[in-house]
Amino acid sequence: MKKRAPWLYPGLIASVALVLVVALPRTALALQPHGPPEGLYVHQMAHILFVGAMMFLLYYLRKERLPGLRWFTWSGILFILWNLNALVGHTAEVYVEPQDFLGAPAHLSRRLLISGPAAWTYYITKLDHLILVFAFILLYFGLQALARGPSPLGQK
Amino acid sequence: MITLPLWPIWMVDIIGSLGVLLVGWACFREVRRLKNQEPDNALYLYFYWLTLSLLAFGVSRSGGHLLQHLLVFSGHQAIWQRLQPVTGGFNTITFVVISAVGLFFYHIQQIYRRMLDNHQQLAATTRDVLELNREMETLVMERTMSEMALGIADGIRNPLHIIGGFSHRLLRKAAPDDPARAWAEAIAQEARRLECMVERFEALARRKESFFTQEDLNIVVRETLEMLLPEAESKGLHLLVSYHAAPIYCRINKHLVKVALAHLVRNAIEATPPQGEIRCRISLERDLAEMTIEDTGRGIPPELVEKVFVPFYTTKFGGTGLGMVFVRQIMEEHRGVINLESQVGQGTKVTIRLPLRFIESKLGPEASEAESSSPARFG
Repeated sequence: MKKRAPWLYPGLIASVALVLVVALPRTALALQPHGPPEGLYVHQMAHILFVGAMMFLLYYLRKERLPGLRWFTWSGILFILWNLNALVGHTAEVYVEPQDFLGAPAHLSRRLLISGPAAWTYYITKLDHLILVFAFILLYFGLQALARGPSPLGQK
Repeated sequence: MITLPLWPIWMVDIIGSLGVLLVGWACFREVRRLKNQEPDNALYLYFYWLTLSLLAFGVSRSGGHLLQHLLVFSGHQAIWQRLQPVTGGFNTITFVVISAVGLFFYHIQQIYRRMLDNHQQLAATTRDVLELNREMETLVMERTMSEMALGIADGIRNPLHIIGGFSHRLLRKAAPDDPARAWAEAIAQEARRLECMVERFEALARRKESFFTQEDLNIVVRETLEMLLPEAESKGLHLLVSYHAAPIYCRINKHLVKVALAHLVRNAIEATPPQGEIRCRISLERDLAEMTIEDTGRGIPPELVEKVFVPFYTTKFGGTGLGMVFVRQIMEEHRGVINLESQVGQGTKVTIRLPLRFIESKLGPEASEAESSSPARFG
């Protein structure tokens, strides 16, 4: 009688594999740890996505020649600048040491020791609302212009 | 070493956060108003979701920053240390949502554009079909009225001839002093008057046939093929045509016959692969003018040949299934017949026969005996 090859016994192979897994346990690698830098990397990547979304907005608006194009364009540019500012700021933040902050945390006299370009960059990029608020204001003006203009053709 | 105060950063942060919340909310209200005005406007919908996600970002970020200042200045920095990653995570999510909205809109926009194109194409087709249908109705009405008028005239003329003939015979036979002579004379006069009226009526009815005009089929076919030559050439097809040696004058509606021929030739162009041939032939077969359009295309399976003239049956994407129905109706309105033969892989041949009774006096016996020319490349 002809003997069957061992690979023809899937039940046997599965049983052997199960025994090996159970009998010889190792460090479980299925769940990877998410250390502190990962959050920063994800956040930075999200900023890049935000830039991509704004670039699409700019491309689309210029193509469609919608009412309020000027406002939307500048709003989009400011949103992009804000994201780039935030990207640089988050990176600079890594290089600013906790001991560079002088004074009590909840005190108006608290100061930042400008020990190098990173501290300068951190300080300047922290004033990001000077860009962000104007980006929102220009978006508002754009939406108002869109509402005042004729209904965009081919959209209905 | 230089030290800089942090309070300007805090001030800008607090005022800026409040500003973002305020303006973000104003943007959302504006775009919500737009969306409510036109809920089906895809652009407004895009701006609605973009602004909503920007507002969510504004709330998450500015709310987080304000909370940070509140907690730190109230001495609860430890709580803020625990909350910071959560608000940061929310910020990240809102960035992803903002980009997802743009990406989603881009694809929706493409689908929407295609739908809009299809809609416009459908509307144009419907308009064409309605226009064609109106022309068909006018044609049927005019032809029916003309036929009825001529039929009535024919029906009146025969009894009139008899009345007129007999009244003249009575006149000849009646004695000069016979009182019936005056009556017969009156009958003959009135019969003549009626005959004149019938003649005028017939002339009028013939003029009403304006929807049908005397046209040379050779010219009609040539003009149609001239119109379609670029389509055939762009596909690399050979368009061969053989005209009848003499003009074949038919009383037809030129526009409708051209519509029917164009449809048939277009079908042939669509069905024929590049370097294939489409042959058009015009000839006289006994008492019929015959036009054939033959292609070397993929052909139609036998089970589908029967369905070609069934209304709304179509195998073409976006087709109405009315084209061939209209072609047949146009031919029927000209008292003609259309026949379709096809073999899969070999091609399709459509034959149209228009009866000679529409072929009028201009077609002499020498013309009917004339041979069709050999096929020549068109264009």
